[in-house]
Amino acid sequence: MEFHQNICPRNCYDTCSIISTTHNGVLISVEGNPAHEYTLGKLCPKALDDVKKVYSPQRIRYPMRQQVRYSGFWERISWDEALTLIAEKILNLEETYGTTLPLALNKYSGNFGILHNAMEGLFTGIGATTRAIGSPCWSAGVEAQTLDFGTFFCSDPLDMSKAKLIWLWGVNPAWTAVHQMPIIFDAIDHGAKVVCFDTHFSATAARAHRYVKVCPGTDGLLALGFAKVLLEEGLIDPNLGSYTFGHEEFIHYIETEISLDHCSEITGVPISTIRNLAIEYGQTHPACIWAGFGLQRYTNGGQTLRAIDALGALAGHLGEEGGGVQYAQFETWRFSGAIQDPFHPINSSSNADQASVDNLTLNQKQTDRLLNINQFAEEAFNCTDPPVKMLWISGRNPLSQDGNLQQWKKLISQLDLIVVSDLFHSKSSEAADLFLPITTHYEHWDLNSSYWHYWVGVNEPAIPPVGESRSDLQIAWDVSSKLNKLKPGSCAFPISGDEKETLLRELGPPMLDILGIKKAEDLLNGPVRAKYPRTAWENRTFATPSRRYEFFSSRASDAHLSPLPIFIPPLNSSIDAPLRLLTPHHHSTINSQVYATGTANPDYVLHLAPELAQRYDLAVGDRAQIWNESGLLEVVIQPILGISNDVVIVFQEQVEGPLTDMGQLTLGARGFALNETFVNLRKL
Amino acid sequence: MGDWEWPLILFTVLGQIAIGIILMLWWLARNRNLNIQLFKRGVHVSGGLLLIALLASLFHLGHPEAAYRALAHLGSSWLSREILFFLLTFLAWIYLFRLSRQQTSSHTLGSGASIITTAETAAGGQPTSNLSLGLGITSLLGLLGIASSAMIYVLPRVPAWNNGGPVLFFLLTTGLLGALCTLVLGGNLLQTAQKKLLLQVSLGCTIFSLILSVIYGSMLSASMEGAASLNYHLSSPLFWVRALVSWLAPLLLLVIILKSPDLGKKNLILTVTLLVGLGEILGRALFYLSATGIQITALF
Amino acid sequence: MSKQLGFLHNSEKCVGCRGCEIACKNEYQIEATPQWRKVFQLHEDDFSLPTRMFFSMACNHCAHPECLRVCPVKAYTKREDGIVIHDPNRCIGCRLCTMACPYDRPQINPAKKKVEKCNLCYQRIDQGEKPACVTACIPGALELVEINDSLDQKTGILKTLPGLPSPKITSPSIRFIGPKQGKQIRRD
Repeated sequence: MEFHQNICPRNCYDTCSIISTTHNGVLISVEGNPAHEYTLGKLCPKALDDVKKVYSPQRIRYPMRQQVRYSGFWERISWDEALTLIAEKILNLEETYGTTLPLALNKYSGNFGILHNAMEGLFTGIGATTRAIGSPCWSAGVEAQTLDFGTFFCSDPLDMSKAKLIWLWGVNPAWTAVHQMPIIFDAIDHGAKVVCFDTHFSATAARAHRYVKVCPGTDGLLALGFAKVLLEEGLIDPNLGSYTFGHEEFIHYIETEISLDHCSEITGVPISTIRNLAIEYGQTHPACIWAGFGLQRYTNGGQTLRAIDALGALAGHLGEEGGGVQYAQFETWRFSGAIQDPFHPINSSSNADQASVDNLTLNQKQTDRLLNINQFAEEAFNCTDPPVKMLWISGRNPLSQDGNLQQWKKLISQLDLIVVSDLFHSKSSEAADLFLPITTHYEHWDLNSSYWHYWVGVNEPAIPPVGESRSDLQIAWDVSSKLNKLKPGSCAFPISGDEKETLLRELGPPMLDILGIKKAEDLLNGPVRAKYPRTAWENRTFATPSRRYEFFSSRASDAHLSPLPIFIPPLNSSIDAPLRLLTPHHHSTINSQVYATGTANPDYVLHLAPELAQRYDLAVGDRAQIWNESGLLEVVIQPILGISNDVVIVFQEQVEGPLTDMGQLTLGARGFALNETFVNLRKL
Repeated sequence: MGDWEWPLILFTVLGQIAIGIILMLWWLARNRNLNIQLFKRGVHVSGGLLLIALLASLFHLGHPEAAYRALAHLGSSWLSREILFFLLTFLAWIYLFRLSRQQTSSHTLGSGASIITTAETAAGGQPTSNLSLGLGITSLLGLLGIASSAMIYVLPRVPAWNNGGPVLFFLLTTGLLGALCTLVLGGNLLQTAQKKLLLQVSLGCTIFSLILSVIYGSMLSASMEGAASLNYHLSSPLFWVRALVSWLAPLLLLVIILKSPDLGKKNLILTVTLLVGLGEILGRALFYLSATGIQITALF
Repeated sequence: MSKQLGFLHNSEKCVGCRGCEIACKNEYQIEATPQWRKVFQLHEDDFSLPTRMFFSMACNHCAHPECLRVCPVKAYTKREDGIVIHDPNRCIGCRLCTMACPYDRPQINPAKKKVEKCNLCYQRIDQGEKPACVTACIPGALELVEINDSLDQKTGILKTLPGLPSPKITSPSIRFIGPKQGKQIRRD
């Protein structure tokens, strides 16, 4: 029996530390690492199912080729054939168009391991290419917090156990960050009160002392309403002048523009409730707000986050132990980036969100063609000089997750070669020409950080690659090797290397400093917590231009946004599409990565209020259709209590929608206003 | 709801017919006028049925090869007791079979089916008390086996079964099909009085079964699970077929037969027997199909 | 019997993640069909407000186990600590226990044609460890406890929950901490 250290690379708050057990080279069990203070030896069912996933009969073990797209007739080919096909296509495109811009990469969070950025490195090594940048997830909120605080930082998750009042705002940790639940329960056991704000009654809301249903997209106004009560009740932090910037302007805006009547009417929260909750929030110290990602997937999402930040600041909860406004962090992602681009030491990552466009090297700005990941198909299709002719999809399933499927169909029809690298076939691989089998995190070296807690660790291989699968890094080396063989000098990316050495090189001096370790090898002993304080902004010195918390942000006004957090109404439903479709995460899935617990449900289940179901003459189990101008989906009806009559919910399904207001600055592209999708409903 | 338990349906119904036949033979033998041919036929047919029943029961097990272990828990398991009694019944039947062989050896001449003799004369001096005793012991053991079979289903978890219903229904099947099959087997070997008696038993069992079913059904509604069982019955076409072929038809036909001058409507008797057999098989299938246990009703 | 081990399940803490189910499957490499442990969601209409509450249930190691009573092959035994153990080596797959258990916890394994159920990780307990499901429970909703009067006298300890069979049938060795319903503010 041998034990290995692994890290769950899923796009999830928890980023758990795993101890895997192997016997004679076979992975036999995975358990949580008890030495990791957030994982505490426990794993969620998704990770617990990993052994089955690694050896799943459905897993693709060999490079495969599909002669006719969507035919499903895949034939096994050798790696050499696959690499030759890819390299020849790249060289052929370069020759035809005189540039490598027809080559596009669309990669995101399928595996958040740092070594997966080898794909970006490969593409940079090839030359100027077309890239998907931005994030389909959290852009607007990241930017809002960056404007307010200067950077994107949260308290240690364990800090929440010290709170006396916890506001869970648009977040459902019971399903999406389950390791936070014992911390919240701990706070409750110590007398903390928990209030949950959400559009629907979630499993987390059920465990809160109070659940407040907020009309979708109006959370920002609710925060401003609370701020109004704080003003009226004299519950403003008297020291605001010493550490914030622009609070007078903000207070003036609240006094003149916000009325509680209007706030109550729009948000659906009674005035008395707004008043009581605000007073409680103003009077209780420490009080913590945790703002979820769903909050900002609206056209006004960035403003919503800024308004909530401002509320926390106004009440004096910033920098408070057990207080603050928590969203997420990216401070433990300061890896050297050496893998991504041997030429540009500080390069942008299109996958991991960490670098801002400001950080893009001039070189890359001039050469690469950057497309918003949330409008990728449309933008790629519209590229004419030269057109996009080859697409590599890695760590993503855009044909299941993206909005505009019609656009994708159009794009696919103009592509000469589509390469998908993945573990399993997906909606996206149905359209692919080549499938490259990749390794799981039990089969390669990697390096992982969380965007919620502060632990960083090395993931070591526990077993040899299953079948002929290869790591993204190995594939990148192999493609480069093949390119250089066919045409020497055609790719600057290394043609071979050592995974472990490569990962150690990612731990540059800044990272070693953050982690408080002397040399990169020290991290091989086990995950390390970054040496950041447990409480964010504990000395109330911020990273903004003014070094203060900025109610008034000149960087916002420079970007043609309101300098103050303001309320902008969300999109409204229309007669054609009267119902807002929400698509929150389910506890057993992450995006389109499904982890079957029990029998798989082949149908999409539409959750809606019993009253709404009655209005459409629908009963439990009925088949129905939701549709809007961009698509149609057949669903099975499941009425549940605790949802408004203008909202329907499908847990994680493809939807189409407009963009968020912020995200352009920090992440280079605006986010995806997933929750501003409206549909119509009819019985079948 | 349960499943189509073919092995159990065959085991219980065939086993009950076998023991029913022996029970009827015992009854006919009580005043020493059991026809020896009928005795032989009865023993052979019931033995065959018993063997098929026991074999069928093995198919219910995941591991028939280890069926012998089923005797291990006589202390509290009715299934263990059932197996014990059925095995003892089979042993007793072997004794009956031996008796029937002895009859054959001593009755070598003039063994025409038309020759009507009483047991006493045909036995050639062999004491009929042996025969009667054998039939009696076999019947008794068999009835204990059937009662044990029924007790298996008396489970607190299944309200529809957790009462005297299973025992009574199983015994009624034994009486009804035992009598009818003996009538068919007996044919002309039976005296008119015997025929009449058997017909009356059949009629009585049918009437009792009908009344009992009505009372039982009305009792079921007391619990949610019982009501589900009842509902299953009433909404199943199988149940209505069963009601037609094993209650209504026999009531009608048995009265017709009983009213006929010499009770000699052979074809009609065969028809009733087949109908009732079908009805009982359907009834037993429904018994398993409709079983609704108390269970976790939270959402999955 | 000197004592009775059992489970204490806190519905307020259980978030329905099903980690216990998978941990159990991983520990014993159980195939897909038999589910020794299963997470159920409580019916919402049993409460005045929506609940989104769950409970997790495996074999309840009942004080009066029906499975043990009806089993013809003595595959079931009850240990001194109250754990009801099913010995698959004795099982002949008659399925009578699956008919007798109100919780449907002994289940047939179609591949092995034998019944299987939770044995409360007795081999772990004998080594002073906790059962796999209890160890895996992230929010700490599932505990191994000794079922006795002093536990039953504590406030908030329930013998059953809505949607469960009456505990009178088998006296299951499981106790619950039920949902405490918060206040819900909404305006429809």
